[in-house]
Amino acid sequence: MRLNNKGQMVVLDVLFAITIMILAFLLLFKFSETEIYRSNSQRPIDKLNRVGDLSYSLLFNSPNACLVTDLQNKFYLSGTINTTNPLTKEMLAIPSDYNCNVTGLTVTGCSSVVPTTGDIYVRNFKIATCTADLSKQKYLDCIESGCSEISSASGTLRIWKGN
Amino acid sequence: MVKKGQVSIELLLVLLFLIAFIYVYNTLAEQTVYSLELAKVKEQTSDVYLSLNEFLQFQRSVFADSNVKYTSKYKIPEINVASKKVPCKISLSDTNMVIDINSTWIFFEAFNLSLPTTIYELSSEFSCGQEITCFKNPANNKIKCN
Repeated sequence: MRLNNKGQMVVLDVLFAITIMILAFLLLFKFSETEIYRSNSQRPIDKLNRVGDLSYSLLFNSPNACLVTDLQNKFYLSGTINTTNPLTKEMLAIPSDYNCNVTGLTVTGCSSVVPTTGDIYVRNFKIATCTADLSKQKYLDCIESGCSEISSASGTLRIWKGN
Repeated sequence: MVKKGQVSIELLLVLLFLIAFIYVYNTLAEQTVYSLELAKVKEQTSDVYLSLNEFLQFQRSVFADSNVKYTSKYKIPEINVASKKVPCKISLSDTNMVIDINSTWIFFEAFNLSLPTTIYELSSEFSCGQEITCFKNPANNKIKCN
């Protein structure tokens, strides 16, 4: 710091330091703004995807799957659905503030009209269906040579955030 | 001519300006970091809800088969900001989950879910980082988690 001929202090180094500090702050501010915006806009989409993926998994591993029984054991077949016991929105773990629409299968509570705007989770599926429990022998026959007791259904699962 | 008094006053003004500048700068920077960390905390809060809900919902698949005896464990994620652990309280009911943050940030977020009491027997309160254990309660055949 020195004095000029009018007695004023020249503090160029201080001015430079202040300018750099302001620029650094602006940089931090811009970075923060971008991060906060990204976080706020991405969060609902991430949440929708997680809700959708969970529903899709539960669709293929539901308590209404086809049951195979023999004298000692019984087990559910993953990736199947017994169409005599319709699934519900609650069984697919879809929260009440989300709406859903399922085609190809009857899912109680999932017949809302699909909106034309906004983010929608869409997943096509193909699932094996049955209408009654199967014996173990029948199940093995179905695997080896096919059978009329097990057929398939194709459809689409759509989930979106309600208003 | 430059007087000594003039130099002292100018020096004082510069110092005052510097102090004020650093104070304002520091306050703004702190607020910015606060907002940034709050966004991170909210993001992780949402993740706690989603992952805990996923874990509990998947227990149903096991519940469907009455012959299965099982125990499953799950550690609820922690909420961390810049290696600082943020304590949180999770209140569960059959229709919603409330995550309560009470530290530098004080807020709560409520999420809808569906955990029917006919299937689940849950403790009403958990905390982040807690390990929960679920098993089929032979007394009532419900999935008990605590």
